[in-house]
Amino acid sequence: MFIFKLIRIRFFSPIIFQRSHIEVPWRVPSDYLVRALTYAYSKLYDEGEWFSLLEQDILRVSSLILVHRDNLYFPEYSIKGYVSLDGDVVDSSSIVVTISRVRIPRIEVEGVEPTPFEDYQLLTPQYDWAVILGIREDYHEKMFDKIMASLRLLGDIGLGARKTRGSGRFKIVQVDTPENYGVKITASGTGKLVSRYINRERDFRKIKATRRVYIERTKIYYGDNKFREYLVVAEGSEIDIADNGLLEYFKNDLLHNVPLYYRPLIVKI
Amino acid sequence: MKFLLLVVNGEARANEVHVGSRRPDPRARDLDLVSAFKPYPNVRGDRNEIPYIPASSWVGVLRHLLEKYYDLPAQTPRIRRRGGETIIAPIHECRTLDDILKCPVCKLFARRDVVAWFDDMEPLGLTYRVQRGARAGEYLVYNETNQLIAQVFVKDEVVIPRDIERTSIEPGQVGLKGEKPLSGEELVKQGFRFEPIPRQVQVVSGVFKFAAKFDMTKLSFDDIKPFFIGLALLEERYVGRRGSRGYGRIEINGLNLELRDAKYYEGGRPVKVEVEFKKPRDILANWEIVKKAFEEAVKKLESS
Repeated sequence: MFIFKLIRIRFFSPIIFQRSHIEVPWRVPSDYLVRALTYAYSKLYDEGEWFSLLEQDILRVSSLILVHRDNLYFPEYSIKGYVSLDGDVVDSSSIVVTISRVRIPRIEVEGVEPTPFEDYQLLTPQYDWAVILGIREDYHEKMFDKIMASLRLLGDIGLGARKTRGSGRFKIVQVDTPENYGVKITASGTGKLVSRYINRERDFRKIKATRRVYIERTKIYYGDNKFREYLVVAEGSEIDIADNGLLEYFKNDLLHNVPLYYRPLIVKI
Repeated sequence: MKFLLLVVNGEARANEVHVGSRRPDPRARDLDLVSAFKPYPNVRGDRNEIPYIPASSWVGVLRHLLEKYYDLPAQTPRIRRRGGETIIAPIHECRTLDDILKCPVCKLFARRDVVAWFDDMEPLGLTYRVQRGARAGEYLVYNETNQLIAQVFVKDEVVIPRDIERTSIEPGQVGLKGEKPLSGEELVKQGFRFEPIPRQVQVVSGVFKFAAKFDMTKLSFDDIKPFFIGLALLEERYVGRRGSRGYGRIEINGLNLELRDAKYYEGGRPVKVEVEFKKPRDILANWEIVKKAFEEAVKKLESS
């Protein structure tokens, strides 16, 4: 049994995404948030405690949800935009812009030259945003404050790329329940996915679609030109989930354990 | 070592700064040079954006000045290719971790395991109201106390043509064919008129807040001294374009230091580093006193 909280946040600078993403990054997915929280939590507390939190399925995290006039707009992969439960749409093209940059190789090797490239900016300050955290009831009291502290630190040091130069800064403006926004969240069952998800068997044919399933190809970078590619079930899929999803780790080029966290979070429709 | 973040907050009085942007001003599309604006929450008024000095600009200048101050080699090329043209901007960047940890600049600014975060310079305040000014492209920024805190205005400038007798222009630069440079008379024959060219430049003046955050689990207090040297150097130079013509002057004041640990992020208060010095040069002149105050603040934090 999970206790769900809706954390409303306000950005003071856009989030920058590197062009290495397969598609224009129109939202901040749940696994991305979990990796960012891993960084923040391990700065403040014991990293092992965080990983055990993930492994024991104590925490569920949604993708970033857009808040407009106190209504929640959930990311919807089919239109690469945000949709409220009553069908109102916010088009993501109004908040994604491209900026030109040059990539400089860190080493001098003949034939390796700097190349122009583009970064994407998600103009997050134009709206309020929210993330839904689900913490297992028996751990809620012990862990909620620590997770919130990690989220606050993340707001101070930023989310996304170019954090050292001011990008992705935010602060928490409200802690509430999803019910107060008129939505019911569950960790399994039938509904619309508000996180990324991979089923435990890693077999998408076994996923029970109630209406539609969106499969997304995604890349996760962990160093210059080092990446892993994954197929994930994307937000907006309407499915019936009976398992608690998938957790894997890989080592990045700093030899840190990086979690790939694909546990589901569902909004009842 | 337990988590410890040192936050340096300050104010920058900026005078006629032009940090350029490629995005046109929605209300003055014919401006020749536009200033940087960014979207901001809770902006009341008629523009949902505020003028700002991006951290990439002011920290970029600060780092560049420090590279000169420490006489560091510019051994890494930054290159931009546009059409057939290649622009090279070599910078200093240490390659190995050993070198990075020995270098006063790279130790702060060029680490894969990030140890310093810098915020954009934004108008002093918490919330803003942005009003149109007298001319298209001009804005007045008020903060929550209704204080006029920043002013974006348009400057009229002219580019004065040099003496026609001394003119020597490559044909390709003016869209003509040929290789031999053209004299003033030849350009006139081609239909060019020699007259001052007016242009409109958007600049911003005002008081801006900024912050720098340092991970003190990986840095010593002396490691951040270059940051204050950089701020002092910044005051002598400029931010943005056309500093050689007096634009982009920055005066730093109101510096204050605070420590944040895990308890702060759990809802606690930061611990102030009690120093009376508010300007970078004063902090540098009294470095040992400031360092002692920092150590006292760390002790206070540990015992709380």
